[in-house]
Amino acid sequence: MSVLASIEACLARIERVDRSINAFTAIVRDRALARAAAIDAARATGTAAGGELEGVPFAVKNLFDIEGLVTLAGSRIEAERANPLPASADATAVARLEAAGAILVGALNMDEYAYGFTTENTHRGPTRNPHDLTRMAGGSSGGSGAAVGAGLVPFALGTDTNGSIRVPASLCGTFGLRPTFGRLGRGGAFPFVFSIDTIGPLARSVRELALAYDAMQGPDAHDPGCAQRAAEPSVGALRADAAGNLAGLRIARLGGYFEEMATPEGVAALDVACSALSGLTSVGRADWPDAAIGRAAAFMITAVEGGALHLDDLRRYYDIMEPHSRDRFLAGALAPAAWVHRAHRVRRRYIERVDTLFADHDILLAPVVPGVSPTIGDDWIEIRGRRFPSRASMGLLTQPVSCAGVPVVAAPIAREGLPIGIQVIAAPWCEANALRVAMALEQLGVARVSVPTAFA
Amino acid sequence: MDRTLVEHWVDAAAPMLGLPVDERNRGAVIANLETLASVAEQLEAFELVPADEPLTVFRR
Repeated sequence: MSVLASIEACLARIERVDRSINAFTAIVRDRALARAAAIDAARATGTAAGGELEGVPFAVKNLFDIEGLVTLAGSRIEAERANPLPASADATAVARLEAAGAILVGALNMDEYAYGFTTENTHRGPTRNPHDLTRMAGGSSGGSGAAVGAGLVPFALGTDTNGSIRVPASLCGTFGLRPTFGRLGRGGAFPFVFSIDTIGPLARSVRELALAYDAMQGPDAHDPGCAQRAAEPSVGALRADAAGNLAGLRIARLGGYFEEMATPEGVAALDVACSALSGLTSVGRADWPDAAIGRAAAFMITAVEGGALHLDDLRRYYDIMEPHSRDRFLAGALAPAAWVHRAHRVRRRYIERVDTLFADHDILLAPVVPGVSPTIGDDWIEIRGRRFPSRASMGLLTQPVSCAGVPVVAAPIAREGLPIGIQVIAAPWCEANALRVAMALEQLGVARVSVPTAFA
Repeated sequence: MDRTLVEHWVDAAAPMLGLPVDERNRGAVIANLETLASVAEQLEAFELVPADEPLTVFRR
């Protein structure tokens, strides 16, 4: 099949299926078809660059700049402010993926300005979970999770501040990677909390996750928070068998906070993964230090940095801001400076403590979310008999990890019923180790993406 | 933290920053700031030493 025919089929499928799940907010049909035709032409003359991503369609959360489109970041404000300017260039990540041959097909729904875990976007409507259309897709990269989970694209880009890649990956049953803080350039990506934000892929397989991640690596002149670090490709570290992928890695599961804040379903998913890995290697136990404090620091920094970033929007556009999050932004803008300074100091100490864990472990395993996806509109989730507000608490298990800045892969555990994922956490700059273990779980048949039969 | 203190803070600080807090959202803003106040208490209780500072340095 030609690349053009493949992309046309992809676009037709999006048009048909997305009516149900509401993942896409824009389709770049002409651009995608032009790129596809160009690749076909290059192949015909033997001048195509080749590579595994060549001709592969992808989509991005609508906070990534796409040349010629207004970058919405899930808001009405960006579209309705006076003289909104379309992006003059693609975001760094989009440009690098297209340089590797991938083809952008569209932009995806999200929580407004990334402040949420549910993608119940009031302006565009909620994105629906492809495994149960009455349920949440997760967020804030909910469109990315739903698009991959429904099989509309092999991979998509999201961003993860407090869990916004891992939560929708878990609820929609896909793989997702939050890289080490500072690894991937955020140039052209609308910020949320600059001191915690990361970008990363969600994908239907670990290999595609790694390919997309590798294509985006390298310093980014448009992101002062991107490390001056040469690309360290991960695909070459992946092995053809599970034992090879696990060789030499010291693995442990996290107890304490990470089990107490998960439902029995979340813990059961972790049990399944650990049991499968135990057939090939030793899986120990470990305790993450001060997880609740790490979450508290992230919670404070998020509210205050987010509130400060949108101070002028709160003044001028409060009435058209997302009702689910505008008062949280406003409270963050009003918080005393001493609170957030304390949070940054705590975070500094916290990161040092977390780092000591990796003297004895290469990989740590934990649930991603407390349980399966709640019903759209649910204000509360229940964890072991205690009620928590759903929109703030879906990140209970992801925030302590991202506050430390370490890389983590979300892996969907194969099970009956709604999807649920686990976190495969690695030491800073060791994304390849997390990808190897996620691939081992995939090779063992424990982790996999299952497109719902209605969309297959 | 005493809710009254949070209410007074919101009523004083919102106009200072030019932020719209009125009858339609005052309760929600106060509730969210109360949550942040409880988080601040958690952070205050975490032991730090003077060297725990989020400073940036050049390391080459």
